[in-house]
Amino acid sequence: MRARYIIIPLIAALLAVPAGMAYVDWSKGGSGAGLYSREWQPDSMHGYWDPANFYRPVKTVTGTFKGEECVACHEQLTPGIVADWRSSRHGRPAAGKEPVYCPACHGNDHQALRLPTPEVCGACHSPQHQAFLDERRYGFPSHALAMERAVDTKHFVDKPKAEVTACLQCHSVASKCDSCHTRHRFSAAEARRAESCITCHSGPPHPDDETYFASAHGQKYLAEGAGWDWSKPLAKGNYPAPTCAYCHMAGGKHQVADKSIWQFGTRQVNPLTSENKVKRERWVAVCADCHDAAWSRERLAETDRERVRAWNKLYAAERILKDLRAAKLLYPAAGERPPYPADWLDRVWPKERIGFYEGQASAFYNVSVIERDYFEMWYFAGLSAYKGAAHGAPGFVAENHAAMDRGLAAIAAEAEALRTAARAGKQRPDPRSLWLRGEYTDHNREHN
Amino acid sequence: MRRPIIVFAAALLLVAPAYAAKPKPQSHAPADSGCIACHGGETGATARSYALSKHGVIARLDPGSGRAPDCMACHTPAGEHGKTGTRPPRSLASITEPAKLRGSLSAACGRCHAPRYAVELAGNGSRMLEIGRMKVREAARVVALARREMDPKALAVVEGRFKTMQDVHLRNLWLGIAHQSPDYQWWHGQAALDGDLIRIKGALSHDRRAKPAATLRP
Repeated sequence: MRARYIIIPLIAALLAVPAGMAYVDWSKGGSGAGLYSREWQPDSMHGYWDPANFYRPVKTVTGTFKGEECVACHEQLTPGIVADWRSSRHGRPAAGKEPVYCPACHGNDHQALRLPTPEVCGACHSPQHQAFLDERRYGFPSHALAMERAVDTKHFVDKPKAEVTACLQCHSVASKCDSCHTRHRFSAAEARRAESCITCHSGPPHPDDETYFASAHGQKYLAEGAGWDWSKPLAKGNYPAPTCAYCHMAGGKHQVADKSIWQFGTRQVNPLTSENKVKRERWVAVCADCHDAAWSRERLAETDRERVRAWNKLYAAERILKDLRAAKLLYPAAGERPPYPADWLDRVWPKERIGFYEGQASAFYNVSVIERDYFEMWYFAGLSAYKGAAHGAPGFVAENHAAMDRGLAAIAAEAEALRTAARAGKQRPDPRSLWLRGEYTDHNREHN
Repeated sequence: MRRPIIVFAAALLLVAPAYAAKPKPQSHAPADSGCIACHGGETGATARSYALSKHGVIARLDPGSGRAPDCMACHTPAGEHGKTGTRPPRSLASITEPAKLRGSLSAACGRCHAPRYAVELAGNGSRMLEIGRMKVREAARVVALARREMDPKALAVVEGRFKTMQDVHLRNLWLGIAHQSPDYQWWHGQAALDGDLIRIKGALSHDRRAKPAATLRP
């Protein structure tokens, strides 16, 4: 065995790893944010989600101010904020504690104020902030990684930035601490309630709000919850029915990804790996606050079975699409539709993306009808069925499995139509401009 | 004897503005349920986009506190009533001209938000809405082609889809922007518009495939 066969690859690896890290660092140094930051310019509103840098000084107000002085002016200018602060524990602290005035979070130099980042909150709220940061090691769906996930996603990079500002509103849960306990009241009681999650946790790919409110837990919450004492910690015996935070942030732990098994339903998961079995027992422990543990285990296993049924249907649809792709029957094919600007590889080697592992989650526009049909079957019906099962809303499971069945039938029919057209030599009936040009399509190409 | 009285009166004058600026209770304004009953109901996009927004959530969890605006607070910011009594003249019913809205925005948003924040958000909303309109206009050109080429039965499906695109999905986007619901901006709005555009083009393409070659236009 020649030494060079070891030494040369070793040197190559030793050079490649730091080179890769340097490349990633360089990628993040552009005008945007994240891995593709050199490929886009932010819309001016995006600065709001970089709290440390959003503030622009008002020329008319200079000097440094003490907290009481901030309050005196802002009581006139932004009375709602001061009223919120006065009703918060910052403004009306427990006995023996000092109020936390504006400069503690915003600074006191009116020409150089800042909006607080999680680090600022973490200076006092260390356990919560540390838990929040620690969650990163679990990967998706960590709240702490949400902003990176948004800005590194291909369709975020590719689409006009004014369009995808919508994404940042929810994914900014990573950059600011006021998503759940809103400013300036910062009430933990508010954050414990179900509605504090629904601004983001709603909609076709994650109807968490609707599935929860339809469940027995949610129905009880809707009927009686306004009267419960929300100042109590999220612990056994304190609440007759759980809300989102009770199960997902048990005990008030500022982590949601630590026991996440199903990855939002975006891909098939084996619930029986040793890691997932440990997580499953932690779920059962939460259910066991109120329910029999064995009964709870069986209810959670129903979700496992629903997922198998769902993925059987989704994989059947994927097979149809992949067969079409292999036979070059997808139309418009990659290369006949606008490439994703962020994806240089897509231009060099255009390829249709089918399924989670090929990145189809980012390919729901400028694609063929059949690919969009599968995207909706997977991302809307499939993910909704998952949430219905997980939250205990059988109606949603039935409705969305029926939708998946219809989706599969429609995909099969469209596949047949594409094959028939190909046999008749009519595979490409349109001028290229139909798919490649158009007001939005052209704008997107130039203005992503 | 006079000195303390003068000092006391001066102190009163100093703090009086603070009391004047306190949030006014909404007790005389009709509750949201009155608006919602006519404006699409609880499950309609108008009410849902508000209910899902942070304003809606805070108003629901903290009713009567004035912490978040309800329908009346934004749509009639200074308690003003419309000249006709039905439509407030300078309300936030339309966000397509942020420059015009500047005055209304400060009135409605300024209790809690910095002026720059409200104006930036409105500007972004305007740009976001324009992108939605671009998708609709792109679809309109395809629908024009479809009207020339497709038979009435097939065309009806395309027309139906185009109507949904404008009346439902573009409207969802607009409501999502106005009410600040990310979900209505994105999944019910922009992403739904993407789907409509794909399906309208796809329907025309499908129709052409089914026809003999001679009827195809260049």
